[in-house]
Amino acid sequence: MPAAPPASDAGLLTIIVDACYVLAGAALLIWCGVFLVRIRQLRSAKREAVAEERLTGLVLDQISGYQPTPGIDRFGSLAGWERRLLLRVLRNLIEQTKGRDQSHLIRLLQRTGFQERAFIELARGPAAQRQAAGEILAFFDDAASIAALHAARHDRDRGVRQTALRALLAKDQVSSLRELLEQLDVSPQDPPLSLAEIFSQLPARLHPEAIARLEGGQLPPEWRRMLAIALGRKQVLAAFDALAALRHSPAPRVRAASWVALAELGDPRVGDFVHEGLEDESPDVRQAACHCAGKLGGPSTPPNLARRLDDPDWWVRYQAARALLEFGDAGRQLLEEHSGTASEEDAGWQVLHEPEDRPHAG
Amino acid sequence: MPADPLPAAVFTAAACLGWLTLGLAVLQYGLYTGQTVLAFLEMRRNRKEERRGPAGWIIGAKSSPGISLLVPACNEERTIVQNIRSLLTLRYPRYEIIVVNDGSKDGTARAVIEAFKLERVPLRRPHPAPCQPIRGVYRHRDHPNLLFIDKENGGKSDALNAAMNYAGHPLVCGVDADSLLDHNSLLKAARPFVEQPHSLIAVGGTIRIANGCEVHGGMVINESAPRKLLPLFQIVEYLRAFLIARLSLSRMNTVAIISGAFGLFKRSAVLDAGGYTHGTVGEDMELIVKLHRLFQARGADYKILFVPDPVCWTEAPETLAVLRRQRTRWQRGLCEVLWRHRDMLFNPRHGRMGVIGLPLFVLFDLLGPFLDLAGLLLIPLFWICGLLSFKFMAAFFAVVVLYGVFLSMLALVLGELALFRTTRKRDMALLALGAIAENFGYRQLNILWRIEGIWQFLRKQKGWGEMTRTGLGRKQPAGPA
Repeated sequence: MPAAPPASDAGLLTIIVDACYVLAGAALLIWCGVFLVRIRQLRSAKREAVAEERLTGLVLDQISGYQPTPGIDRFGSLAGWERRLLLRVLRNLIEQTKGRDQSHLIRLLQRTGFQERAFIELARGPAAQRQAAGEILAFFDDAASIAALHAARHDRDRGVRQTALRALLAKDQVSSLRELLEQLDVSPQDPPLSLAEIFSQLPARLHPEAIARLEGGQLPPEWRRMLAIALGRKQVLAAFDALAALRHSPAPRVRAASWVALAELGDPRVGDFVHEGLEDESPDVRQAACHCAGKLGGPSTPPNLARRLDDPDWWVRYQAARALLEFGDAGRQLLEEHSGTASEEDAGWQVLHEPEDRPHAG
Repeated sequence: MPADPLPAAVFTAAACLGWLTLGLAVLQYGLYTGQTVLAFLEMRRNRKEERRGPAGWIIGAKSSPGISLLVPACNEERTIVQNIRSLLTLRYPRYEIIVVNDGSKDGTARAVIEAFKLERVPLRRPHPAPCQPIRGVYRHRDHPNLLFIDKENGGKSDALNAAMNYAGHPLVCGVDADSLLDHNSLLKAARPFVEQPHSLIAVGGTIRIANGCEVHGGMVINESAPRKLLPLFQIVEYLRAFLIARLSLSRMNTVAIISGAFGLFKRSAVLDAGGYTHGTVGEDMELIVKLHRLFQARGADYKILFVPDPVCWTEAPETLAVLRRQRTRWQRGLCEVLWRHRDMLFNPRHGRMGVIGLPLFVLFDLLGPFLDLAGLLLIPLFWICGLLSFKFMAAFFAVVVLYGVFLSMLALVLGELALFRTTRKRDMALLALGAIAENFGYRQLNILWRIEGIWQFLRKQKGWGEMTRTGLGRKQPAGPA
């Protein structure tokens, strides 16, 4: 047997063993570091809780005019983390008051220099503090706050920009929808649902532009869908033609949104053409059209709906049956004629018998 | 008579085999290191997203997507009522709970119907996802968001399909009846769907082990590390699996498993994929792989994400026998899925999933145990026979053990950074000790169970095996708070 077995390449093996020791040692050291950081965080969490209580007391003292040691600015030398906490305290105080009390609090905060602090944070603080300052300034209606929010629309952080834009939108300070959409910087293909929320807050002044954009077809389909439903929910009657035109969109989701929006809008003129949606090739669109027909259909609608009771898609049949019930005795009679002797699996039978208040997919 | 010296060829063969084993181990751990780096990057991105704003705004938003919780229950009489009560307190604006009694032999159905005073309703829905016949549908007049379906036994996937057929919301969330969801978990899991409503089709969250935690009213109210070794090892193991493996796969959009205990899906996508597949014990992985296959074939821009923070708590086995049954079953499930979808393996037509996602499973979970076992048996044997030096053996075990410690410690670090939960110094020390100690015996046992699972798959063994649980919240933590 040889003195040293052939696979004992000492140099390489030593490197491998040493590398493993180094890696395991490094991981243990990192863990110890995390351990220490965690302990610091636990301590700072306790410290923050105490500081938050103290700052709340100081803010309330300041706005009520109580000064135990006159002439000393107790907020002048706050550390960075205390400034962050101060913003949280201010926001909590504002959010916890309602109506006239809130307006009074805002005026007091303005008079006692807290609004000024929010301006400074919005201009110079880190991103999270800029966003918090923007949320606070959203409650102020004076020109200086609006100017500061306008400036924040061009912030490098998207969160701060969106906070400023939402605040300005609520104050009717956004000059155009085009500008809003450009600055929101959301995906054209897969926009977040928060865009739907923003559309639902559009002030009346921007409705004509919104309608023009729906008609013009410059918006990506998903944006159009969200805008259409928002306008329908806000019952912007002037949008009727634009919403009705969307029923010819090549995208099924947009066509379905058109019927949902028209149903929400409540304009009875939709009864003249709702039968078109009932014949759409997409089951989602037919479902939405059934819902719309149930709400706004005219005397000629029930027979069209009754034909949908034989639709190949179960959910279209179900929605058509629900819509028929909206037509009172006439609709119920049609439904009973069709489904009275059917089995439990029949969509019409279900609508006649099941409880009303469940969500339904489809 | 003196023994003949061994021929040189034997030494050469042993050396080659030894170096091959060591090289493959180093390669495997190198890949783990790559995954760890990706996991850290993905976690940093997630935290950046979270800083943009709280998920709480969804609460007040009209556009928040509704969620149907699908809760399959089979012989869960002891825990089901408490778990439904806990689900009813979740923080989310629009959700319903659909509990499916999968032909239980105990009093599960009676317990739920009596506890919630449910009435039979004539509710029928089409069955796009195949399932066994429904015996009855029950609900409470005043709680329309709780639906109870009593059906013939058909297995977990069958029960999930039945619940899916009755789901009324666009998102569905499979939840095990013996698991507990964090109060805010639905909000956190729904957040990516709010941000990317079009392209996202599924989101998985972290499963954490509740052994040792204080549970009250169906909620974990005091987190604590268990004092028993087996659950402690499993905590480290789960953190490694979720926070290193799944987080890194999520970054590459190659997530192949969303745990059946907690995952949020777009209902339409699951129905398009045909629902959960019957006859497999790996129904959760099977569904995800089917979704990848379907959306790849459509050429769609889709995403399946793992988000660490939504947390679901589960009870880990505390005995070796139960743990062994669980692990062999998981391994069988994995083998079944890989076998069913073998045409996707290394196939560029199936995109990253075919080239990266599934091959990683083959390497780590299918070949890995054999490689590990070969190393554990052969290298000491060769050393005893004098075919390899002691230094070589030391190098091999250094790679296996020290690298294992390295990965486990990094998983703990990721856990602290992503989940931010440990609040006691003693728990942190216990977890660190667990991360070191699991490399001496526990990991080796797992290797054997995995190989046993593969053997069971080859023998076409079926069934789930009995999982004995004591029930969350029935025990108090061993130590004082």
